[in-house]
Amino acid sequence: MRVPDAGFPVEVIRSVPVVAAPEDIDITNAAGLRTALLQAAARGNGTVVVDMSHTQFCDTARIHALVGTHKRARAEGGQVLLVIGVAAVLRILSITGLDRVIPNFSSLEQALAQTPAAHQDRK
Amino acid sequence: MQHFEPDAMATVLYAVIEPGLDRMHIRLAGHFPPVIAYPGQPAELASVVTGAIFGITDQVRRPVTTVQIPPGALLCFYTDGLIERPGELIDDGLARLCQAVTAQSPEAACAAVMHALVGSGPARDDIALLMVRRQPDHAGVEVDAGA
Repeated sequence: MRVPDAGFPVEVIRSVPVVAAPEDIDITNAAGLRTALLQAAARGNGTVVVDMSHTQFCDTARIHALVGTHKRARAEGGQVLLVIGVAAVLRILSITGLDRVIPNFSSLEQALAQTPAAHQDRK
Repeated sequence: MQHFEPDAMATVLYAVIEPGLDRMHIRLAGHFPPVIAYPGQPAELASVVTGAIFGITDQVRRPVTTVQIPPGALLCFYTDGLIERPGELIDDGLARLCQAVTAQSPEAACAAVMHALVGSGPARDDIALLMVRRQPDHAGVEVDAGA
């Protein structure tokens, strides 16, 4: 399933939308990514997983895409979960302090295990 | 900002230098730490604990770090536009900045950094650069800013 406007692959796994972030998040695609994340979060009752396992580069200004989605998700009772692949991206999260605000995981499976849908499945 | 501009965010660096000039107290909100150069030594990133960026939450404590400023030391404050380049790892940009910063006059240090990191071409992003040096002879603090 793809979001036509933004062009980022969105897959729904166990009722949780998972958006695949691009290799580079920069000025050319950050706004589109933000739109894709917000649309996906709306489908997942506010919760969305951002799969950044293939993301190599994300500058501090473009981290805005994640911040907006996180705040919207929290307002709707959901949450944003990040899957981080490379140390450089984790470093940007650490410098901006987002690593202590938005939960991040080293694998998609770990992230999905923390979603509200996963908790409901266990009940 | 949480209430009135929910989509806004900002990085902030807030630093206070003691009147005696020996120490600086610094707090970071998602901002890059300053580079500090001691006379005759390679410059390095100041070891400062980072707090969360402004605009994401109002429930995060941002710790204060105290940095020693010996006579002759130079402090370099900057924005992300100075060091970030598309497709490049952030640590490479930070390393390039540390190589370019030396404990000299703020004016010369600004010129050296802009030459090394931006060159003569147009910058890709906006840049703020602030240098503060404690005089080697305890005469006071020199400040120079370039953009």
